[in-house]
Amino acid sequence: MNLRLFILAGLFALGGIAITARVAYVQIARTEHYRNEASNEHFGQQEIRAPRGAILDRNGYPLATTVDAYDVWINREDWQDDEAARKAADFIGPIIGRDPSALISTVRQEEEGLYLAFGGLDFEKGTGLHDADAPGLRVVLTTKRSYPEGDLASTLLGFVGRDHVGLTGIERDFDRELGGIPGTIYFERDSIGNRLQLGSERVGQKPKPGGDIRLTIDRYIQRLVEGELETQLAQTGALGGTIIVMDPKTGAVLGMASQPGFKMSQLDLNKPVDQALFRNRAVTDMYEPGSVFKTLTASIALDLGLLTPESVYNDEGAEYIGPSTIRNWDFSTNGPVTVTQILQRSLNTGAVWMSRQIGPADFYGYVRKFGIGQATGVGLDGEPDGLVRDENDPNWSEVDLATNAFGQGIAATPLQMTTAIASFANGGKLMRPYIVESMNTPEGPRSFSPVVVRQVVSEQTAASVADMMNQVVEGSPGHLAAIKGYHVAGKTGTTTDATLADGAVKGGNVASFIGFAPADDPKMIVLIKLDFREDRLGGQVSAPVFAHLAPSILAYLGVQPDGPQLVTHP
Amino acid sequence: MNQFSTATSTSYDINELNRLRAARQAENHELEAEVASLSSLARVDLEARLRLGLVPAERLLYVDVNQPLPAKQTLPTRFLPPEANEVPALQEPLWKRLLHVLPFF
Repeated sequence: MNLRLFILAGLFALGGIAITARVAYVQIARTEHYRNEASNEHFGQQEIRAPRGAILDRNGYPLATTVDAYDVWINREDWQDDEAARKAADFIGPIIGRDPSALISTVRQEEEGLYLAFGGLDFEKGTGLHDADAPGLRVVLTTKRSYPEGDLASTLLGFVGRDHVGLTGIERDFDRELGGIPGTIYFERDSIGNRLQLGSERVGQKPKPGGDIRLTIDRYIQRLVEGELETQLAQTGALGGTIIVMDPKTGAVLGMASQPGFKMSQLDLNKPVDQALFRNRAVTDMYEPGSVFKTLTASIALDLGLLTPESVYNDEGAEYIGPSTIRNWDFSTNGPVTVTQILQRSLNTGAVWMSRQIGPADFYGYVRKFGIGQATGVGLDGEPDGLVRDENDPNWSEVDLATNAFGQGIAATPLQMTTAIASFANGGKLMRPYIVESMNTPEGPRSFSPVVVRQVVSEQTAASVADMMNQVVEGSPGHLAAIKGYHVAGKTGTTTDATLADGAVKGGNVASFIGFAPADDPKMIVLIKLDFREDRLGGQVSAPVFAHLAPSILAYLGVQPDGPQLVTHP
Repeated sequence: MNQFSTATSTSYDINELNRLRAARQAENHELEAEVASLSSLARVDLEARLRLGLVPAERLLYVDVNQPLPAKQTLPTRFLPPEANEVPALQEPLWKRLLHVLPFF
């Protein structure tokens, strides 16, 4: 009997302990969980979008900014009644610029729920709608991107989607910094989840606005290069092209335009054909640089002490590599010529001769030091490494070295070529190109300084090559890149049999020019690359573009010309 | 009852003021964007051509003027780069400054 009683009491005691433990577990250990569950039952939560940061040019002019706006939604169910629908549509239609009858029929075609009648309505107009009492109308505060400079730098800046996430360009590459951190608002809701009109609400977490990004791009220079590129495409019938303007001393990109591209004002995300226009071809697309590359070959030979600008090569009009014959672009035979003249006359045979002096190991070693075959690290998405097949590749042959010496069979992006040639304008130092000057990150402000990647060639070699490039322009009478009042250094390049227009055109032609000025103290380097279906020479079509752009850019940068153009005020 | 009424009224006032503040902030952003649009190069170019009848220069003449540059165009403060001396340097507390007077500090 006592034993049974004892067992029963024990069972009760165990039960009591178990219940107490459970209560303690629920009330103490799981407090937060159940409190949240109860809170979720009574309160709904809504994300508050953080205002997106602005994208500014280097002087602080906004290229993209954010303004408040309203999305106008219509509840389909509230518009089943003809009279209510007509009354609301007559009120809403003119404000959002839609025909009331068409609006009613469109809303009724919706299967269920809310219909977005207008996205990003101006704040002032939206406020009028917000305060109105129209059946079925829901007006939600949002933000929209505004572009004060219109279509300027569209491809570079990119755009955001409906959810305000960056989809292309700077908007995507720096989405984290621009986007900010969304906040949360809690509101009291009824049993089916609808917000109580007179219920309480509280801000859980305030949204943290996105930071502004200041670019190195100058809106004036950007407008100049975009306008010039459009003009060239219209006048010459070029299929596309790229113009880059950079400060050779720092690597700061001052202007960058490429075509084909898109215009913000004509953006249509529903057209699949437009997708190919979104990429920034100055950074993403590779091309064979052609004769521009001869400057690199010459600099390697000079830096190794193998040649001087005055070293003589006897041009017999052809160079033979096994069964292959390499001739000059104009099939000319020039006899004894100096290294400077090789560049002036752009002799393929001379470049082959120089590459033979250098040898493959040193040639490719220097090519990589110039940054060809590796991404520049400019910070923009989609940048390829480039294509360099060196002597370690099983498919490499001596012909590769010969053709690479004059820029064929090797591929680089326009930005890589600009950066490499800029080293001659910067005492042989290769700079890392950059396009973002400063930005406000969630961790705090951050600014970018010029970065010297490496000393590629000696200061003396760089000066010699710059001088030879100056001779290319000023030593050739009637050179179309020459400008009055400034000494220019530059080199043309022409590539034949190129694949262009995203593969649609085979056997095309790339005509390019890279030049910097003033040659003795360069303040800007400009690359011009134009793509043609038919044969065109860089010296004929791209060099004049430089001559047209450079005076305006130099004057804008405050670089005074030499000589009689300058009138000094007493 | 009176207290409840006052609390409700104050709560309503706070909500109204918050709404007003949000509206003013939005207006401010709109105006900033408008200022930026009005100073855009495209508009300046259009005004120069259509209203003032200017044309692009055919010949550049550089004049060296011994005068200071004109004042820069004003941008909305939010977009302006920070001035170098905008943030005053933090001053050390008095006791630290007194310590510096001592020879071994």
